[in-house]
Amino acid sequence: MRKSVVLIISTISLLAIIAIGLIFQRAKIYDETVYIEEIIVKSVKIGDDFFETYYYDHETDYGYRVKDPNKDHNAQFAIPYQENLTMLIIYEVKPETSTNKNVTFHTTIHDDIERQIATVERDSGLVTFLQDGTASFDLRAVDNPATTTKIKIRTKDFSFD
Amino acid sequence: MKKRRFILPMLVPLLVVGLLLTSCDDIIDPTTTDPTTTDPTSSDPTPSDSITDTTGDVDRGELLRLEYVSGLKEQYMIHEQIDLDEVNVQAVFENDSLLVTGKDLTFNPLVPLTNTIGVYHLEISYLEKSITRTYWVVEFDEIDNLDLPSSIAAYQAYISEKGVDKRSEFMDRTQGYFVGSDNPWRFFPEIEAYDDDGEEVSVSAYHSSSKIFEKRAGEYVQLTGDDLDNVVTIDEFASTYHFTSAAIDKTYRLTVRPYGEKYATKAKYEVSFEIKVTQGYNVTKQDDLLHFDNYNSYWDPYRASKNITPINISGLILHNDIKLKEENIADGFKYLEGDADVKLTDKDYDRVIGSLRDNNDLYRRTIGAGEHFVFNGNYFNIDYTALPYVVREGERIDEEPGKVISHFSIFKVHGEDDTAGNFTMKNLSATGNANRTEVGIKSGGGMFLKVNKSITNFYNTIVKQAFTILISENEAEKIIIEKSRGYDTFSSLLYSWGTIDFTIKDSEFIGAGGPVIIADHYDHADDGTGGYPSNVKVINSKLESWVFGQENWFTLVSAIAVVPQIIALGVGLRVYGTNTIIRGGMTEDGPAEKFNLIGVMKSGGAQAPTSDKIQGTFQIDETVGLDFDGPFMSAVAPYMPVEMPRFQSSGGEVALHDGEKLVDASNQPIIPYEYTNQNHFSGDYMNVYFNFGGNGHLGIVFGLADYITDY
Repeated sequence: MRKSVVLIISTISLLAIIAIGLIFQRAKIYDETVYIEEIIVKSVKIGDDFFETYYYDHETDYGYRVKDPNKDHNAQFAIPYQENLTMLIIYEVKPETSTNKNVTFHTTIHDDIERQIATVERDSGLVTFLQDGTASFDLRAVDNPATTTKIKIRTKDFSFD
Repeated sequence: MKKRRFILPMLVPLLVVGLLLTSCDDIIDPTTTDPTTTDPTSSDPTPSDSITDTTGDVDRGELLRLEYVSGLKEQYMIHEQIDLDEVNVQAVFENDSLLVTGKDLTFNPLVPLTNTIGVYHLEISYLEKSITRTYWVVEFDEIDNLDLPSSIAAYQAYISEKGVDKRSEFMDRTQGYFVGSDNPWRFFPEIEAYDDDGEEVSVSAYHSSSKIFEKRAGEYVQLTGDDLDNVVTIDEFASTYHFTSAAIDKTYRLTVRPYGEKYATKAKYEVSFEIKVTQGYNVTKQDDLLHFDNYNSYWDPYRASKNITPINISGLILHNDIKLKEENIADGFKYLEGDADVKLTDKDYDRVIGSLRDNNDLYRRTIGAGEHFVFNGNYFNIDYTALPYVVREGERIDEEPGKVISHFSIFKVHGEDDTAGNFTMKNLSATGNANRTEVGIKSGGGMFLKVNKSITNFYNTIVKQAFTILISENEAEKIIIEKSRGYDTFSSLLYSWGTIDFTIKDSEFIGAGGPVIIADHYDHADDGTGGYPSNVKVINSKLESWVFGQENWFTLVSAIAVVPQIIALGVGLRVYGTNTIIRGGMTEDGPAEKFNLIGVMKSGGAQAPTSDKIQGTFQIDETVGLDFDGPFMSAVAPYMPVEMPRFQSSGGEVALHDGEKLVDASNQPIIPYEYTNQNHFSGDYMNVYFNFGGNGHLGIVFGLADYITDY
């Protein structure tokens, strides 16, 4: 090896030692991951309309609901069912500095399609109701699926009333 | 005056006698059999206006009335059970009042009815007084449909295929859902019910109608009569299913719907789910984990305070995510005010109260010889992000945080005496309280699992943000980590503390605050022999930990001084090829070199880098592995200067540094890349043997790749 190369290596080592000693007095993580701590369902979009949500907190059940716009208190909205009714779940995450803000959407999968009330696209949150009824949808943080929230959405076929 | 003096003393005894005479009728003789005597234990008390409650030697006087306090609803759903133990009544006495709970009350009827819709009256009695409460039993006005329980919805989400980001995807999603036979399992569907105003009704109990099908040769056969009773006991009001040993290793499909003609036919009133039955205890909450622990006496007072009787379990199965909370940890694990080893004048007093005591394991199990304990997570998550930290390493008091190397683990398994048991932990994810961070207190975070003197299979797991995910100790015979993922740990992702067979297979471990693996030779002699060497085997796995060398771990183990040497080596290696052990990274302060620190092999007696003579191997697939006693190190053993590092790529090329340049094993100069246009080293890894003046070497495994920059 050329002496100049050895000299360069030695110089870099010495400079590095000095630099580390002077500058890096404390431990530093340059790319720390910030995880999602909370997922909030802001609204549900049906067509061009946005419907507010509220948080239902009961001993045996909890999660977001679509607010009935016709009532002045928090009550679950029975969305009029029509064939192939679709809607979009709108959410936000906290903290705002989360490294990965993405969530995935899930609903229970029944082995019999006749029991399936609705489906949801995993990545977009697009819900499709296959029949009238109430379905629950979990939103889970991609960086930690145990960080989750839930929304129940009810549709009702008023044509029978 | 004299007359008054005479009369008054006479009046006093007369007054006393008079008082005695009038109170005679009020004295109760508990030994008489007179039917007018009030006996609080009598089932048919005779009304009396003069009952005295002397419970607990307190004379409360006459019982005046009962006042209802709580515990009963005005409305129950049909078939909902009423828990009379929850009823509270205020007994109002002349001199006092007493809150009386259900177990001390009598009710008529003994079991309140809810089997038909209607209005019911419940008489509540205490001593001789009674009150009546009225309740209604109602039908659901409207059930939209049934849905699988929310825990099953979570299970399905966990086993689903993930998108582009696979870090949260289980590698084996086909294991199925297990139910234990040691205790009942509750399967309570989501019942979407509403009243006639369309308001949501939360249903906490219902009368279920169940069908059980046994899977035989691929077909489902419904079980009835004795066939059904032999495998399971069903409580259709509690929605519980207690499988027997006859059901173990078999697969069942459970189908439930609400009882009643109205719900008998429509598909959306029914839910169905497939399960496999196995030995083990069904766990739904943190306190259930206590049955795993058969070692820690710290739990004894906690168990007593919560009336938890230890059960000898044969395995453990989760049915829920479990978030560990500090309030559910026994006091013995923590430093508390008033403890003998905590003083107001301690430099860490503001941090130590409530912190965890080092060198403890929250849930520890001794496994007997021949025993195989299976901890099946059923794909659920254990979250210990809220756990306190270790503030004192051992008993050392530090003025500033960030100096602790934690030895606290959430779970530990230890073989019994001189024999090794078998332990499997599988299908589980965990989230810890110590990610790779600048926050110093997280150096006191919890390790997830420690194993010792057992044959361990860590299968299909995902663990993030632990101090270290798994440490296998000196007497652990064998551990295989398979189809598992680990990310973002404060310290190393894995640790072998003298484990002779430490295998990582089909797995992925990325993003430690230090190396992916630390592998120690524990308790060796000065000449490097004896004790417990580590032999690490990596098969078809991705291991990666890009560090700048300034992370907390390097400070903790006093390795910061080695970093400039590593970077210098990386720079120097570029003379001999396009590949090297460093890469150009970008920080908040500008560009800086980083390196992929796969493994560190050192003496188990030291926390800081040393070059004591040790044994051990680090083998990645079929490549050339690090081996202190291998052909390369044996061949160059006599070469001097011994202080210069020795290089061995996974492709088999070797080099030593003679103080001026790199030479090969025959002491011939290695020709630089500029003259050959060929990399001297090949392969994906570089084994480097460092000497700091001892009689041996520190072994480090780096990633080896073409030099690139992130910017």
